[in-house]
Amino acid sequence: MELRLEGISHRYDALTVLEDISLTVEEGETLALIGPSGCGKSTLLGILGGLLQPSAGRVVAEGAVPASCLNPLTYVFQDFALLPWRSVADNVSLALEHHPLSANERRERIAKVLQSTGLSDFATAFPGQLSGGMRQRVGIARALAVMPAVLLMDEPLSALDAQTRDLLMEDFLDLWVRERTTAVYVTHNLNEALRLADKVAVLSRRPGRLREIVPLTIPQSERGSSAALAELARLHDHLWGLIKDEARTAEREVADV
Amino acid sequence: MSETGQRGGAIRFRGGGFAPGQRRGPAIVVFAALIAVWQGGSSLGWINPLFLPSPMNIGEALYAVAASGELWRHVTASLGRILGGWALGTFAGLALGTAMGLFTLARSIGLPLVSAIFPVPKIALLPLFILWFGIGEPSKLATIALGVFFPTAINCYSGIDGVARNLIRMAQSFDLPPRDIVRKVVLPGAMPTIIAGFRISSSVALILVVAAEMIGAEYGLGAFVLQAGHLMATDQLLAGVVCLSILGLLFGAAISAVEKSLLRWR
Repeated sequence: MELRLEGISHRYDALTVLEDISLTVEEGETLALIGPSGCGKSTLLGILGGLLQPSAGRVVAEGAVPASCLNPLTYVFQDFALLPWRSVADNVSLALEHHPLSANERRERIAKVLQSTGLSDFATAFPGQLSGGMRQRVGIARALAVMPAVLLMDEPLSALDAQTRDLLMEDFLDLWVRERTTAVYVTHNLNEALRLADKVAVLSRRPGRLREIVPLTIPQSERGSSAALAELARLHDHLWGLIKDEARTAEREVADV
Repeated sequence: MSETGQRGGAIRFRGGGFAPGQRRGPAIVVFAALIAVWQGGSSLGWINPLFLPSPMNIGEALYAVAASGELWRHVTASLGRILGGWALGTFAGLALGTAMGLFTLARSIGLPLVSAIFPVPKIALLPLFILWFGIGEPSKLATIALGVFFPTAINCYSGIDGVARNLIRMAQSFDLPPRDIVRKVVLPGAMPTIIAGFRISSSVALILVVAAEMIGAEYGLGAFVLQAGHLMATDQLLAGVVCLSILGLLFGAAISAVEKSLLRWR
């Protein structure tokens, strides 16, 4: 599925958060949205999936959705958003229960995503018993269970420690980047963007405007190789150059929201 | 370094204390000691049995009313009123609390209304209810139900209001129908607060049943205690009080059991 943003602007009362953002996420591509804190990345993601109403502009989805897809635009949340009173399997089940699936189909889907996220042994555990990394795996399993056409990920690794983050990032590559699931990945971490994305969209500080779209031509599978290092370092410096000054200003800003 | 300064050696542990635990032993010992002192004072004639009968006398009185079947009649009368009134009040309270938790209109109307009526001691309305419903059961049920209604509504409302916004957004992002969001996300999320409200409302029900039965009832623990007082039968009076305390403990235990089974995940 292809997502087209047409002149998206958003205001909270007098505060303009996003201004005139137009951008296309093409079928099968992973777009990373980066920008200094408070630039409205998460707001933009909320608008993309219909959880927030933009003040102006619209988002258009184009392209057929396979019948197996139950929820075309599916989120993975920074804080996991798991129901603490449901077990791992039941948390995944929550996304399926209101769809007309037979009990068997549902069980199969749950078993399959738990398997692919390495959670099979934890199906009956409660979120409170799991580490942060495992909880986010549940969040991802739940998202994959509906076979989304577009994955919308809101800083999915930000709440995790650096080691867990690296491990999960590799799993992400297996789970959807190689499957070529269309994805929008919001992050403030340049390394995550450079590891996972096909294209990086850089937003400016508030009001968030689209500053630049940086395409990454090296395939994800080759980004670990030494040949790619120099190019990735160059891109890193370029991206950091784009947001560094604004990140500094944002950091010194007194919150007035 | 000055003479008074510390000069090496093992580091003094200074992180102790401020971590109270709970043990069963001391409580049992103190309980037993209190009862023993009380019984001893009575046996030695230091305590006038008319004003404060000994634990043994209370036990005998309790056995006597239990054996005659009289106690059972009083207990069942009280229990019926408590359960009936509590169920009515809880049902209505949960309904209003849920509405206040979910809808702007219900909240805008309900919150000021509840805040205005909540502080009224409900027993003060019993005479009015007697005028409306007569001296029989309905006026007592209404008093208890009203007393239970408010804490239940308030706890249910604040429980729902406290459900993490992000869980609701998550449910919306998976296109759960609103009914399912209420049933699978909002109500379970509010459950700990709702059950905490049950603790308050069950003790309110116990207080109100006694008060209502003291105002006008033939049977019931409140009537029993009042009659015993009129007859200066302090041993029976305290036997009734013991029954009330046991009832209170049983309610607490029942709620803990519900809590344990519903909130296993915590």
